[in-house]
Amino acid sequence: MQELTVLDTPATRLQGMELSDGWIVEELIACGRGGTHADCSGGTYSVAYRVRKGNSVAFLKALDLDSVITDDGDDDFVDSINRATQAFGDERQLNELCAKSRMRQVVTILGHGTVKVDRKPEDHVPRVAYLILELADGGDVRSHITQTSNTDYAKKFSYLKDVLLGIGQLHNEEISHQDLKPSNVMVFSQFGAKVGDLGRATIKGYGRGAFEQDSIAGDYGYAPPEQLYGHVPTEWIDRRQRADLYQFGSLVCFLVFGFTVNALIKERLPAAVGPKHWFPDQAGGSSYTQALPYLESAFYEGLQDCKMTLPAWAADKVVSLISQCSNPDYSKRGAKQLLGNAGLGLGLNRFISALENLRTEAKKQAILEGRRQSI
Amino acid sequence: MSFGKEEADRKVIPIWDKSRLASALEENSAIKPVAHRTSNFSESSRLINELARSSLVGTAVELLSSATLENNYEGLNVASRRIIEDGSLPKSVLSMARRVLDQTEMESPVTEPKIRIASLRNSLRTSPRNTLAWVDLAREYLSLGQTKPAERAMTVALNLAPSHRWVSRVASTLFIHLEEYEKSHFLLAKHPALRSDPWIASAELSVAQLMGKTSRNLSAARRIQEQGLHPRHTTELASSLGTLEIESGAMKRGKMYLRNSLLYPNRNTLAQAVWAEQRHDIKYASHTQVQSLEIAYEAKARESFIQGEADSAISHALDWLEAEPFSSKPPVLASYIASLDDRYEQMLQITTRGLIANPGNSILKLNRAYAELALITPLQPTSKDVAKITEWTSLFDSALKEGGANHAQALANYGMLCYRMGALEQGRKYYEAAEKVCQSDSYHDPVLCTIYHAREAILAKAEWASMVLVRAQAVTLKISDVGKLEGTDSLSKIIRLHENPDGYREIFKLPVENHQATGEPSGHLKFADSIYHGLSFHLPEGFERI
Repeated sequence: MQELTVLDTPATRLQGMELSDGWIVEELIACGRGGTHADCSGGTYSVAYRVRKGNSVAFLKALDLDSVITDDGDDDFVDSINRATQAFGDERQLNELCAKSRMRQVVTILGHGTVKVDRKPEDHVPRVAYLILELADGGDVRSHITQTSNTDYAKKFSYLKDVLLGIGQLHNEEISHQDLKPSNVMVFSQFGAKVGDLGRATIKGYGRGAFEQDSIAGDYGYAPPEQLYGHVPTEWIDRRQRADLYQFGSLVCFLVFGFTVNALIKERLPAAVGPKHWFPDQAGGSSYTQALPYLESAFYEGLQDCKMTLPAWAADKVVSLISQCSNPDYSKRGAKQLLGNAGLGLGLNRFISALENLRTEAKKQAILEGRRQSI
Repeated sequence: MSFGKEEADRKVIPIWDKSRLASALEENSAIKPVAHRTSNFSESSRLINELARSSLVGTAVELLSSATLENNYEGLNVASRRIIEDGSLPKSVLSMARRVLDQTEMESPVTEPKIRIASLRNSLRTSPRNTLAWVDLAREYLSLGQTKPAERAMTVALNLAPSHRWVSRVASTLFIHLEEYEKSHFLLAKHPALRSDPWIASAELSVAQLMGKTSRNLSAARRIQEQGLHPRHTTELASSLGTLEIESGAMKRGKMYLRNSLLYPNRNTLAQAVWAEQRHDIKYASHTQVQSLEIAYEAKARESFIQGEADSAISHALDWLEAEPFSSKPPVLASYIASLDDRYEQMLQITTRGLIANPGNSILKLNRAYAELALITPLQPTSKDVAKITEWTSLFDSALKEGGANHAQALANYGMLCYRMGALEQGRKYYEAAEKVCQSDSYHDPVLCTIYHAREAILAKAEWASMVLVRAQAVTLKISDVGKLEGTDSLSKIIRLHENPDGYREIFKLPVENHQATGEPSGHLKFADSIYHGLSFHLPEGFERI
């Protein structure tokens, strides 16, 4: 197993320190994008630690400003610092707003502050800003991909319902997550799954947000097709909330089939009409509007191919759920009964009910499965 | 035997491929550059490192998707191996990982149309909003001649994607095939992008030309052409405008547009240029351009035909038929060229195939009948041949009743039938009537018709055979723009036949004689008798011996 390689910056030297609010910094968990990799899309530079206060264990996210400063990328230097600090500040504010609004399915902020680090000659900023968030004892949802019995399905549908509740809570406050992916879904033994990492989130009407102007704010691998083709819908609900819904459908696809909706589409999409990001040498000539029937065709064919791998009791419902959430045509995303009624929203409650039904059915099937095995 | 006046005409009507093949065509690309979003950041490389540290199967599963999107082969292999090793994962991801490691392709395409239809219907049952599946289904139905289901399927596709360029264009092609010209024109004329999209404007212009009316969008179409869009997007529009100008007599402008259409041609505009060369003697399409485009089957077939190369012309026409199995034009051209090269068995195969998609096509039926008649030993029909007489005469009668473009061919076929059956005088009457119709319609066919008349008269040992041959020679000399295969090649065969009437099987590549004659003496057949006893014929008004 490889060791985690990290740059030596003030943010990577917090281990063993006691913070002003009593938290003690323990193990360095991850280096996010502040380690050996520079995110060319201009993302947040952070270092993650486990922190402890008495019996409580939490997660610390430290802003690695020195990595931003020393990054020799092509981006404007002042812009990069500005974006990194603004993004960190926005994330803190959003987390506080979520905590204030008691969003149970969103990872809660436990504290924030800055800590002074002993200065080394090569350091630029010897102070490190940090956030302290709940630490998931079950890791992220990727650790729950295993599929051996109906109990696994019950667990997955339960987590998915929790995630959708979290997305609904964010949307109710007109916050769009923009980076929903398996590694950003945290599993807690006590509270189920929670949506984490609001680093790319944006609030409706808050035009100065670090990622508000980006057509792709989050991970390119999970970006909905319209964003990859550079098509920007004019309405917020279409541009942001339906993009979140696409990523949620992709999460369903990931947990149930083992790959994302984008991978499912790409495998069946003719390269000539695909987005350039997927086919760098063959594509780039088509537009979102022109490619749409091809994207839909690949999407439907993919779902149909995968459907047969699901148990009969779940197949239709799961495929229907994914096709309503992750349709490549953003105008077709949302509960089908509500499509065309702009004022009625996306119909997340209907999906929550569908997931609850699936969870109940999976539990029932698990019991039946257990009885069959015991006979 | 003819190519048919309607079939010889050509407009720049959109070509309808299977949706997957069409994805690579320029008409499915954006007219103006699109700012696709890309990133150099490699998520899959990050995940490879993460997997190397943690070895968690969940990371491998995420890496598989990420590497698929980023074409990271190392990531695909690393992830797939870890996934297979674990095994306790959803079946879909396990089979995806196996596909990566085995390098196995996804299911190969089915070649049988009925199986393809069943598969598409099955897919549409679960995904009824799959527009392309409806379009492909319409195409499959049309290839089997099932026009109503084809129309229904296309209507659903149009409802699902009413403004999509390619769907609208191929729908217009379908409606032309169904002879619903108004409907075809309406959907293009009402298209929201008519005044801005060269592909829609071109199709609308061509359908209007086909209907014999002037497009209301003509000025806008000219403006689009002058906007300076990339020539790959305006090739069909320039070709449509060129065709319009040439047919209205404005040759100079027409030539300019045709020249523009060949700056970045596609197979449709190449075929149109070759057609213009054939029809209007305008030479612009270069041989290299035609040959360099693999799928330019129609242009290649037409070019080979012009050059008198029967073998390659038929071969390309058959490729064209494979590409557009619903269209009557490839089998009509292929069977016509096959007839000129005396390939009667092949004509039967081609026409039979063409009649599947176009069961009512008179030219294909007449061409098939021609091939059947050509296989009869002159004056010695078998009982099987005699049994088919009613079928043939009823086909020729209905073509004669229809009138129009196939009139001459029906008369000529009647003449051939009479000659082969031994009713020589009636054969002569029919052929002469056919020659007259051809002359009045300014066809190339007077040449071919007279040559064929001479052939039949020589084969039947009619006393006027030499006279018809002299006339055939005179007509061939007189009409200079007739093709090599139709003119000099055909005539030279007849001259050889006249010199050696007994060598006709060798001259016309017929198999060695092996038939059972009716047993009646030649020149005194039941069918011949019935003609003499006054059957009614649909001879043209004012018919006179020429």
